[in-house]
Amino acid sequence: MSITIAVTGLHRGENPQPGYGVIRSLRRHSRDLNIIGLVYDVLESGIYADQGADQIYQFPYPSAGAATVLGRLDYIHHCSPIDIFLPTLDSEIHLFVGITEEIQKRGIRCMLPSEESYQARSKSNLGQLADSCRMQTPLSETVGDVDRLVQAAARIGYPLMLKGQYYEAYKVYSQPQLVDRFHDIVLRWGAPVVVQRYVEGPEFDVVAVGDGTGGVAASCSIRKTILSEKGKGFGGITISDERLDELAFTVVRELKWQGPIELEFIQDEVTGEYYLLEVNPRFPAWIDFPAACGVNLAALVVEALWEGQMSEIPACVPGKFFLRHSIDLLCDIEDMGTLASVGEWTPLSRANV
Amino acid sequence: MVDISRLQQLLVNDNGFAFDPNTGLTYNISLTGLDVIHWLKQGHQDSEVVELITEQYEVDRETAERDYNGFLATLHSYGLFSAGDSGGI
Repeated sequence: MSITIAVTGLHRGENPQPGYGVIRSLRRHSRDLNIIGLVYDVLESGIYADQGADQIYQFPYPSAGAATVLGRLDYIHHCSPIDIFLPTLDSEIHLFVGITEEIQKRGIRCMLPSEESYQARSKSNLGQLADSCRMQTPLSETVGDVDRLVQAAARIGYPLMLKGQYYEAYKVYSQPQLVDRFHDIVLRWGAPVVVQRYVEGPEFDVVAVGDGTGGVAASCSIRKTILSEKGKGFGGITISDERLDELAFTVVRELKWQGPIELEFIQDEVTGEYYLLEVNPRFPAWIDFPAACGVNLAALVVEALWEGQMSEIPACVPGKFFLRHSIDLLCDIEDMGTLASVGEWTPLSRANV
Repeated sequence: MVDISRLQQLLVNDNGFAFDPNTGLTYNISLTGLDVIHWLKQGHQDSEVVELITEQYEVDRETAERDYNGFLATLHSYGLFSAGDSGGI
């Protein structure tokens, strides 16, 4: 029996989203899937990529509100009954956490954290979370206006990191640069913004799936080997570090996290101490990399939602690496036109014709 | 007490390319360094490694000791070798 899975976040540009990687991971696991791509923009590149979604529907931005989003979900669910819903973007997860029951009432299964867990890992609560877990995090302050921004920067010192509540992070060296970047971030993602002490050292990522009771069903740890200007990991290598895993698992346990989670750490190059940088409530953009190594976390989530049990899978073997590789997709304006005007599109190569 | 547990985990190919699965770092190691790592992994003590260097590379003991200690310091700086109080000669 074919399962229909709806996935968001299909763009793979400069700031790549996880959805297309999730789809590729699912296709590695099973060919008998009907994948629906829910997109906010007709230029999300994954819409037009090979091995992408079987059907594409435009979807309202979270800012449209729960009623509008649920209304659109109802329409899509009526056209193509959805079994499982996998949202992948920071900016939308909070909305879906709030309407999890509404989604489930429609017979759509999803694996999302509780509101309490979601809030406890937010950037503004990271210090408290790190304290609870007895680990380090760089000194941070959350600010909403320029006056407080400048005061926080004076306390923390330069250079520092300036981070949006969902996306964007910049290393800032001076007050003029600080104010410019603050306005950039607020214009794009809104306030508040996090001012964080800069720690010099290599960055590490752990992706995991929490079982909702404090356990970790599976995980993969990498050292980021290539960072983009925006701090995105454009290359990484799998590692096996019990100390790092223990820190990550402690956070998952403390949060009693349910579903996908990404934990970002930086290691102080002088002391060797790990600092918790961010806890993201979703898979990372490189999620298909561990799947290619045999640790298919997206498939694990689907299996748990579909079969009601989450099997444990071994961690990634160290020494596998990925490099992000950009290519140009050939697209036809007619396809984009259909999607833009009708709000839905079935790629011909994937249609049952 | 000398701790070579991290060194034991180091994955090294015959050409001297090494990968530390703990940190994700990679290294290029000289052929002499490869031999030293191999001997340390076999459990040879400092004096035995120096002896092996003098035999294998036909250098005097003083040169072998200096190079060996330098190499240990490099390994230590990358966290691959913990000498404790008695590492090196």
